[in-house]
Amino acid sequence: MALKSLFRAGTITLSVATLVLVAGLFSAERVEATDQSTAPDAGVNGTGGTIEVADARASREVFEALKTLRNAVQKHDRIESENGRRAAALPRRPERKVVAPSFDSATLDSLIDRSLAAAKTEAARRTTDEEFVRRVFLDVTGELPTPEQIVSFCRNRDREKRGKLIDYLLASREYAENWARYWRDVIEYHAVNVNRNKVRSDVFVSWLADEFAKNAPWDEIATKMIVAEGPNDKNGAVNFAIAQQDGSPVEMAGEVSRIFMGVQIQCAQCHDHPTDSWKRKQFHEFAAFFAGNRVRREVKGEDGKVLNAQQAKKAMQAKTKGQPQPKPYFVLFSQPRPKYTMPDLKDPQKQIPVVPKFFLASSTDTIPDGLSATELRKLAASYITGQDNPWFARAYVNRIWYVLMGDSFYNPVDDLGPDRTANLPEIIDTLADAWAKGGYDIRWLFRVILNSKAYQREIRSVNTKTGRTPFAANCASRLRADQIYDALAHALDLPIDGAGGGGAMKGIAKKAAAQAKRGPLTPRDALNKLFGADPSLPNDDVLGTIPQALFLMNSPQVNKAIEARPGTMLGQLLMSTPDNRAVLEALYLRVLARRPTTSEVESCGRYLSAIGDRRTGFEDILWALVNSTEFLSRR
Amino acid sequence: MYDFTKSILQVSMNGDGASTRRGFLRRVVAGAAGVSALGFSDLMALNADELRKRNMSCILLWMGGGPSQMETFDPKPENKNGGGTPVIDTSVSGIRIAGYWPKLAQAMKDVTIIRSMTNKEGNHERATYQLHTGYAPSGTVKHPSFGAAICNEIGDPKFDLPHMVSVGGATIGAGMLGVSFEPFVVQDPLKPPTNVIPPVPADRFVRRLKLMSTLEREGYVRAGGGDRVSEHNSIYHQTVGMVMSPRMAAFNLDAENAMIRDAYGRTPFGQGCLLARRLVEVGVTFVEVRSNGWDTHQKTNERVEKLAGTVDPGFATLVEDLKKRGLLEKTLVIWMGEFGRTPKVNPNAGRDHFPKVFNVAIAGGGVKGGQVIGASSPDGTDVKDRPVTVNDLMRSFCHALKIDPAKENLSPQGRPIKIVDGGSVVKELFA
Repeated sequence: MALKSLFRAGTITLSVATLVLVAGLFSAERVEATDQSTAPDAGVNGTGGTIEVADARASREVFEALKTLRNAVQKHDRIESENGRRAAALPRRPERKVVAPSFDSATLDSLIDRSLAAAKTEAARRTTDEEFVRRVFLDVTGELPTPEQIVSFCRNRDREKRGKLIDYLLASREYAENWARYWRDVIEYHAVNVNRNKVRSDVFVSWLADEFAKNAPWDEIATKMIVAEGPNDKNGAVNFAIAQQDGSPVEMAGEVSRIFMGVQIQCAQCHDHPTDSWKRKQFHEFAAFFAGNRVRREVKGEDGKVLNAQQAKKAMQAKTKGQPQPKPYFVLFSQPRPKYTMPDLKDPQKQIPVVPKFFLASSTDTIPDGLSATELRKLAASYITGQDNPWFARAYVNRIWYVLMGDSFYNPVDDLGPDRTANLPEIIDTLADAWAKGGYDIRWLFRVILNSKAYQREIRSVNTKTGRTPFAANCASRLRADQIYDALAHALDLPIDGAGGGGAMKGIAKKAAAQAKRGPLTPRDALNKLFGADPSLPNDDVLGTIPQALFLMNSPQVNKAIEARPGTMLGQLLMSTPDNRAVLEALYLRVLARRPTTSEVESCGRYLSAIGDRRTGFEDILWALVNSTEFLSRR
Repeated sequence: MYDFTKSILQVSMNGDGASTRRGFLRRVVAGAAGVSALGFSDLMALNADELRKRNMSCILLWMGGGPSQMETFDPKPENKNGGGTPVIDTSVSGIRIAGYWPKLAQAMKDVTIIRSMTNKEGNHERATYQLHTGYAPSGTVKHPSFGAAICNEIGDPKFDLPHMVSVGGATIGAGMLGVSFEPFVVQDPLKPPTNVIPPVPADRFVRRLKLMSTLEREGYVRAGGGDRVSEHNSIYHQTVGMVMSPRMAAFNLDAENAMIRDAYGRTPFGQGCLLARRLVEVGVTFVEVRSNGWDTHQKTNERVEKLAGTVDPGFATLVEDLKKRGLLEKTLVIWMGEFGRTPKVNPNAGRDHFPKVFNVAIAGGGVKGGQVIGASSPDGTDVKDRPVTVNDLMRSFCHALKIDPAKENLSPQGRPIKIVDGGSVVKELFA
């Protein structure tokens, strides 16, 4: 530990950062705590430059600082020796073993076919190549295929082409980003952080996309989110805890349980739940694992050093003087010996101490006293992601299945149990089990589902005589906001630039950027605000809104892009293509990623002749396509 | 909880400023087609009562940031905590308020002040959520705002404008009640709402809609997307109904005479209050008008004086105007923010967050005006008499609007959530 060796070296050369840190921790640090806090300890690594001590006043200050340091180090030593004693007493966790699964898409289909036969339901037809290519692009990468990609895929005679396309898409950066954004929404739509500007979604998304890109196993990724500490502008994973009201034990417990296990134990926070088997005490025992998280705000100076409170304040006001304003960030750190208490229902003034215990753990597991917040979170992560916890795999498989199939075993996707009944539980149990044993390989799971006959079926309306039989067909759902953004940019050929925004989409974010406190709001962010929806909601509950419809129907941004004039997609198309039928095919391919049906060709033809003016007619057709249900649907 | 943030989008959508006011008017009239021959007041007479089933509505004047009770309706001239704020008499003898509110002082006969509000939440976002929903924020349940909850109870399902409108920025949304009760945000009352005006003439707009519906039938419905199409159609139906509604004329403040516009104050907040009255007149159930900047950690007096310069005429004129039109009995008007401010003046001549004691002002909706309920201690640090909690207040709103506060709505997890959980009606309001 840097702090200790520094002190023992007996030098009066001090790490400036350490001094600042220590001083900050003992004096001005404003701890935003919701649980019972013990005094913050100086167990923080200091890094940074050094100073030579010059005069007497300074040496007195240094002496005081050294005294503080010595106390801190002594305290730290005490804790470390206790840690040594405790290590033996930690509950033994089973080792992670990886067994290559024999389960594949064919196994999955045989299970589903059996259930369809039992229900006497006929499965929907296999998708056409056109239908498949749009669906798999949207599901994996979040983007529409280009007209060229559609045409060349449909012409390709390779019998293995679907599987090859799936592998190609799963290897793309777009796959990693699409799913990182999906999980960002899963977290943020429930986050109750008091200050939304604290959560660095951008850093979170790029961190998670990197994890997906290298196919890190899900237990590793989940663990990183649960145990993350440090600055949230550098460590993307830490934003998970920051979104949970700065790692508040109650919020962490509820969200970790909901997101990673599909267990809504937080309903038991206030009272024993009538329809769930979890008790209030069990909730608080779980929350006790997340006690002792602390968050502090930091600002760095131009030289990259952390500023003290006064310097930071001054630096933040610098904008008036025309200097660049530094960006504050938030550091999550742990307390050495956090204590957790729950309110006594009988006497609101009283708090009852609670010892951590995982609600699915064996009753013989006891957690030794005095673990640090870091140790407690690591232990919680091990319980949650362990191969002995079936809910962890089920929750993930159920979610991914829902997005890919439009229907799932458990719905809502974040409420699995233990007292919920699943559609075809034997299928999810078998699949989730194989996935867990295989080491939570994310791309493996995608490949099994995407290559199945079940995934590749056409959609079917639910309003049929027989109603919905699970997995007899794929189910249509609404695109997520990020997908709508990409689809709009693609359909209308708008230049997009993820970082700063460009071209026509820029108008959407222009004024918004001026308002945003931290960094410019991208056009994507702006559209996400308008079209965003909680991805944990059942698809049937995710409906459009009036402002969304108003935007697509009437906004100048969309309507300018729809116009047939030089420089627009339609303008160029009409100029380069004299044949109306060819223009129509190109429009359909671009906007809906398919060719028009015969009756659509006829209707559009009639419309064009009734209008008379070619440009006006095609503008109206393009408007109708962009405003259509299908444009906003995955099918 | 995305809804906490300001609706950045609503601003940005105005980006191009493509629609001029004149254009807006012309199109509204064209859209109204057959009805355009009637004046605005004729329309109102035709529709208002038939549209509001129970005839009750609510206007919330929201003081974002937490207004100081000392500089509003609970001044302490005799105490050093009073901060030297001037005090004036009102039209009700015995009731004195801060001197920054001369117009409201005249309207005091119709206004009741509760000086003994008390709560524990001193964080802006969390308190804002609580004062809008009656609940603390939670990851499990998205509580609907009180406004959305009452729209769900008394809004006419056939009404063609949004049930809930928020003027001057976004507010806490409908949560688990879903999109039908989401507030429609009007960023600037002086401009037509965002994207409500079709970019093409009405006949072409209608042709486009018909074409879309034909193509959907022939394409997506046949391909198995029928369920999705019918949901989408219902949203488009509602949206087009709104765009083409003659009641959209309510958004056009130019239809008011200049004197009344001046009385409300030619400020975004003042004109927002006027817009609220016009919306309530045509049948909108809940309107929130937002005033920001009440988080006065520095120079509280100076800043409240300035803010009151816009809120005082807006609030007072709204109450008088509603009364003159016979609407006050049916319209509950609430003035409040998320908490109060510290009694002690800080070194920056400001006041910090203080949920322990704060005040709200209420008018209309059957509330007996001209009274003060409860009291704070002489130095303002405690509630001296008759504490009122947030849920007592919410329950009283329900009482005024004739809504059952114990009515339960189901969360997506099937948890029953009462409109107001606990609390009891502040009976003095209705004495």
